[in-house]
Amino acid sequence: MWSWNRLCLLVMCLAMVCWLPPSVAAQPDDVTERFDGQAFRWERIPAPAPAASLLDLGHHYRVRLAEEGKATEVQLPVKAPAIGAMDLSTLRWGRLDPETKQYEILDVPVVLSGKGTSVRLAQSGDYSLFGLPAEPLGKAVIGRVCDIEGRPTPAQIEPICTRIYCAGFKEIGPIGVSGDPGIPGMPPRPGPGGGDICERCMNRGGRLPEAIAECHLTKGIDVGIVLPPLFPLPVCQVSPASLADPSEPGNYPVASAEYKFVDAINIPPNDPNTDVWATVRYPGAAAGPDAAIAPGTAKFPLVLYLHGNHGTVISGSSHVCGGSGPPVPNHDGYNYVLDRLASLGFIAVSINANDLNCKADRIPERGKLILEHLRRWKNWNDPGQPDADFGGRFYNRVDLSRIGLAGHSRGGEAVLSAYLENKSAGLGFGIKALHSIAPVDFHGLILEDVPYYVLLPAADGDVSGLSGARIYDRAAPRANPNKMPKMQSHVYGANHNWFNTVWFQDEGSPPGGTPGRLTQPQQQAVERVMAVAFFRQFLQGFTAARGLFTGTAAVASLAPAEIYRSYQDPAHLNVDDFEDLPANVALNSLGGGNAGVSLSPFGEFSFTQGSAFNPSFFQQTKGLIAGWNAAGDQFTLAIPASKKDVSAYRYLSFRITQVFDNGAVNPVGQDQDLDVGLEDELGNKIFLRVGTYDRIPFPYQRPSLIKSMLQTVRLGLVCFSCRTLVGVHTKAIAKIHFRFNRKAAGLVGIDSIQFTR
Amino acid sequence: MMRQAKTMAATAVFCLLASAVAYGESSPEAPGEAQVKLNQPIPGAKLTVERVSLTTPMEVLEAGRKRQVKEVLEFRVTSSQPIEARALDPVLYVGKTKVTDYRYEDDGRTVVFSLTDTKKAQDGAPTYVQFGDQVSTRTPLQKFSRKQAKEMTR
Repeated sequence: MWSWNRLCLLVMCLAMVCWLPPSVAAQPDDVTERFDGQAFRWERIPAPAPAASLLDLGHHYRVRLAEEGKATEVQLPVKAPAIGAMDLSTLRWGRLDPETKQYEILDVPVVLSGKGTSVRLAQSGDYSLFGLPAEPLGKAVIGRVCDIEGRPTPAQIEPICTRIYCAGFKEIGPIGVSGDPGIPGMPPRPGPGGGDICERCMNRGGRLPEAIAECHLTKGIDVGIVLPPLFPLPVCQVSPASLADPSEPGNYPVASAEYKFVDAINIPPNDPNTDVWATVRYPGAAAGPDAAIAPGTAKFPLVLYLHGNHGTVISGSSHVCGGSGPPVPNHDGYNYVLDRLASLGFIAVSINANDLNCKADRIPERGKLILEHLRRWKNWNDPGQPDADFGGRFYNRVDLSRIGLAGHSRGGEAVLSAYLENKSAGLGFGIKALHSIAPVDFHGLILEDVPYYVLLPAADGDVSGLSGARIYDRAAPRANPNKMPKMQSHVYGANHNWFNTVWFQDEGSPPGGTPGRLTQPQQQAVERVMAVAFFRQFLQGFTAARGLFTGTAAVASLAPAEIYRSYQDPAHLNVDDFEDLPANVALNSLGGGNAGVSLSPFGEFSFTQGSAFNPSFFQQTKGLIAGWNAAGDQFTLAIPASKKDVSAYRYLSFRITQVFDNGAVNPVGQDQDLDVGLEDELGNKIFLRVGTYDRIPFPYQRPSLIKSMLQTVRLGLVCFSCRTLVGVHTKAIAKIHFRFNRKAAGLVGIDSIQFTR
Repeated sequence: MMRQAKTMAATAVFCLLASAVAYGESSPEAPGEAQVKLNQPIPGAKLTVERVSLTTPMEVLEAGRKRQVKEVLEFRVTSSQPIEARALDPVLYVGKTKVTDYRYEDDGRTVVFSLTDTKKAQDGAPTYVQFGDQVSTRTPLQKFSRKQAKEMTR
């Protein structure tokens, strides 16, 4: 089996033998020396007169060819910081015309190698190396140097990389863009094997104006330089960007309506007289009840909310089941979201399901109730159907191909039921996004092909097992993982009830008013911002707030909520999900080997109640449990050669949690931290400190039922090349490292290690 | 070796501590304004049992088969306070038998559990009610006594 290295080595040897003239290959590196070759001689000369419009790189040589007119390829050794600052495609040799004293640019490309530059010359004369700035210098100049921390020893790298740009210019210091305050000069080189490259990067203001130069690894003797477009450039984003609140009111006046059809449907088997009752907010010509819909012909996406199980009768200050009294308007509790959605161009509906409350389960029945509402909206949209209810107000204005469903508590599982029945029964409603708030998980439903967002309130005193985490874990199942994105917000301090303004009582744990608990308005701000961002993204194509789910963006109005995300993009390469049967921690999902160094415990465990590593897990997945108590403890995953090219992805992603151990290993209330590294086939290895980019918080502290809850950390691949700009080769990743060196000891759960978009 | 031993010791300590931690939310919480005590046993809960003979047999589906039922056992759990309707369903355990079919009475303080396969209620079995799998809400009730069950006809 030929390894890449051996193949490359062979190619290099061929190149040396077949392509370079023997005399050239023998050229010394030091430009200060004089050299008499068999065919020519050269010497360095003082700089001639400056040439307008050319970037003088300070390399001026007088070359004497042995036979004038006979082309000879010469290689001139060049060591110049300036080359590292150039767009290399602009490099040219120029020849000084002795008569005009002007430079003519030789129409031969400059070939760069580890030893210098080559050019084919036919005349003796004075030659200079120029850059041809195609743009103003401030833009064209890029800092680029290949000094990779943790790179192999020269003995390892020379045979391979002699002709590779990265190796050839490893001695060149980086040159910054003019005015870049982060690069005052030649920054100190980091010590081998240590340091934190991206922290340095951050010290430069997190700004990377430079392009990434990559070694081209596959073209044999033509190994040279691949220059991606200079702008726009990938950026190593260290902290979330501040974003305008995507739920800020839009331009539409908010009109409202209500419909209630008493005992209108029979939901078998046990709910024969169920009301079809809902409140509606929609884009109006004017604000207020029953206003005309906004003028025009635009069709608006439809979002339906459904509440959960709760008392149905108001009795004093309580909401109870049965008896006489006014009905609890359970469906009115989400108007704070509906209003915003309507102002932004949605028809937003909230369904009352009192007739299904105070009864066992009723998840399928709630799903059927949602579908009944959709059936009616289909009719209200259809000009061919008489509309005694709204007088045709919504004719041709409802986009039934863009439907979103949201549900709270039992409603949160019911939206899954509705979606799956719509699909299995071929009802044809275009449900394109599902959102659950603190859902139950009575039926173990599995989503495979629809964007899903679940909000988990960490202080939930009702669905205190945070069942929605199981729905998230099962979604996009292993056998069919690439058809949907899934998103999760684990909101510290939020309770179950307060996402519904009607459910005023606080069942949260610990009680409201305790430090760390959110207030009712704060909780509702979370739901409002996140739900609106979610539906705008998947029903309106508004992607600017996507970063709220991936972690690259933050919105001020979410403060002070602590939200820990999980996110899985449909485009991902699963490196290890730890779901092996039988469990085999030594093998990852790609078939590569895993190795733990001095970790204890170190093994695959279920993260599901009852069979988990310990009782703090409430999820439905398997993962790695790793404990450490000394620097140097590591977990390493080998990437098989067939999967080494991850350049199509943008992030290294993994889920991680502190394992709640009552303070035995993980100190109570403190974040954990570690380094994560990538290593390429050349042995280039770059580590990032996770704590620089995200947090691994201590589990949410409640009186009991403290949970170890996985969250996703995403590290931009561009960050693995950030200081020196030529980092690990994403076309040839060999290993992923977890280096547990930031805290003296720790115990973590890890899952879903992926390269992802 | 030393390090590994330390780690193992730490793990052992952790396991002991973890097992000592009550994961059932058993610790009472401080009262707060409008605080709902969802995580605790049903206050003042009492159980009465009725053997109900049905004048019109009821058809039930059990394990995928339809069956005519002429008698049901009804377990009435009454609280001193309204029993909250919440996400998790109340479940009655009669010994190992799990009774999930329930209805609220109009007073809002009584939940009636119905068991159609009456043979599954073992005489003398301990009974308790809880919400879903939330152990902290487990509310012990009287032992089931077939003899003490009131006979009713409906």
